[in-house]
Amino acid sequence: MMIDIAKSYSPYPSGRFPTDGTHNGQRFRDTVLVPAMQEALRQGGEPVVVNIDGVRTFGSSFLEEAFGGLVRKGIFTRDQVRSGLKIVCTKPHLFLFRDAIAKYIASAQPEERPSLHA
Amino acid sequence: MKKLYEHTRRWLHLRAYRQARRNSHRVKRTVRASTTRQRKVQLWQGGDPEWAICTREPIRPPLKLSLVTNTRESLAFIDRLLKPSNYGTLPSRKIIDRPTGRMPRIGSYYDFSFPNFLSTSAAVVLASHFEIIRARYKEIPPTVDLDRWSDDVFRKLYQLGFFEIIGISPQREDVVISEGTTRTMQIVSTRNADDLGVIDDALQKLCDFLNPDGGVPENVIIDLLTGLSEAISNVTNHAYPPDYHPSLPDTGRLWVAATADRANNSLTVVVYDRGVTIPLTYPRIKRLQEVYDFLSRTMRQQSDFEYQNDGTYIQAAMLYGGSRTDQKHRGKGLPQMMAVMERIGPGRTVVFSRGGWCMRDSDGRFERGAVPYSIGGTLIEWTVELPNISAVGHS
Repeated sequence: MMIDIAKSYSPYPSGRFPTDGTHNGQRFRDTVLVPAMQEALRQGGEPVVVNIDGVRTFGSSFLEEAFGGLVRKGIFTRDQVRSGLKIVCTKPHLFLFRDAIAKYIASAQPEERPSLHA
Repeated sequence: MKKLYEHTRRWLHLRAYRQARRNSHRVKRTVRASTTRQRKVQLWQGGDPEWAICTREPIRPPLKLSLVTNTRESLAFIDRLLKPSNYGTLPSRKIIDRPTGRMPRIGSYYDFSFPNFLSTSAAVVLASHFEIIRARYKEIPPTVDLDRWSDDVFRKLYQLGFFEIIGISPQREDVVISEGTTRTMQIVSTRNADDLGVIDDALQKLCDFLNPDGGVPENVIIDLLTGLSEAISNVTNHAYPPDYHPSLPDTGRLWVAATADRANNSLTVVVYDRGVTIPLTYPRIKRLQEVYDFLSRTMRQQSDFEYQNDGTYIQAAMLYGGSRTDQKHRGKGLPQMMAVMERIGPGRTVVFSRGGWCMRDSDGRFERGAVPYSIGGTLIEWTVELPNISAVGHS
């Protein structure tokens, strides 16, 4: 499965939450990335390919929330994300963002969920 | 005959109007000044100009209204400008009082016939302020004695879309205007990142203006947009917390503008918000040991004036980041912006917040300072020098 961010989401993905703008990281994660990854897992584990060519801006907030948030929110384990997601780009000036995505996934710490008995 | 563009036609119309009024206005002023202490001024809110009586002395901006090159005087003026007490002092609590059968009256005004230079950053602060005033009083703030304004000041405000933002002129479609060696992007007044596409188009036009032969490398514009995206996220997440109650409402906005200057082949991008400032929020956050060490080394324990440590807080935020939310994965906006600017190459980043400022050049050198006057929010100004950009690659 292939997700072309610029075409299927926005060339201007930006910000973390809906208050930051329409094309925020939380929305991309919850409405595009997670359903695609869940579907890919159901169909046998082929990784979801995310193409970042064509994107005109990439803030750290968006990248952390969209990709780091997969692990931080406990939606997938780090290993599931690493094996189930592949970031591709052909433009050298976007390699930096591809690497940043890998960094955010590697450094994300699962948030502690509130205990029901607290 | 060549067809005039709409903005050129409007510009010529405004200029002709100002020139026509100039001589007669001077004669009338000389006669009346000797007979009364009340000042007769000419107001313009977009329709026909009208005469009014001014009951108070006007407030004069400095001759050079520039945050970077005339910091103290400019911030002193802005601090005074932003105080809400300067409006609503008339009995009607409006900007213009219109008693029946008598000449309209205004309380005071800002005499923009005095300055002969206006920087892009200062113009953005002015536009933001008068946009808020317009919303607060539900009335278009009039220009006063427009025919006496310096051509340079008028041109700068016109190019930046000042008259459109405050409601005097209808919104124009062209987002950039060229004049001499400069091309300017109209101020974008927005609440979030949804206007990044408009800003991208305008930045591309500015870059084409600077380098018409080969354009500017795509990565430079993408880096600038990424820096802007960081700045906008910072504003939406941190600048307007729920417990923030400004004296003038209708905030929650941010303003973006840019100017390309062929004279020094530079591109200046400005982002301004009217929210809680870095010096106000930074002391509240949990910090790393290295931030404590930096602050304890550089902060003055006894201040001569209220905002004296503001420059230090800004430098700490530029170096280490920090978020009001105290969450580890957040609060990297300013350091990320610094990293983006480092990638682009020669230039400088200046951050003004409340009474402080901090400037970082492309060699990584910092300069900071503070004055006892507030800019009323946070303003970030990037200046990128383009000649060497193509030689700088990504690391």
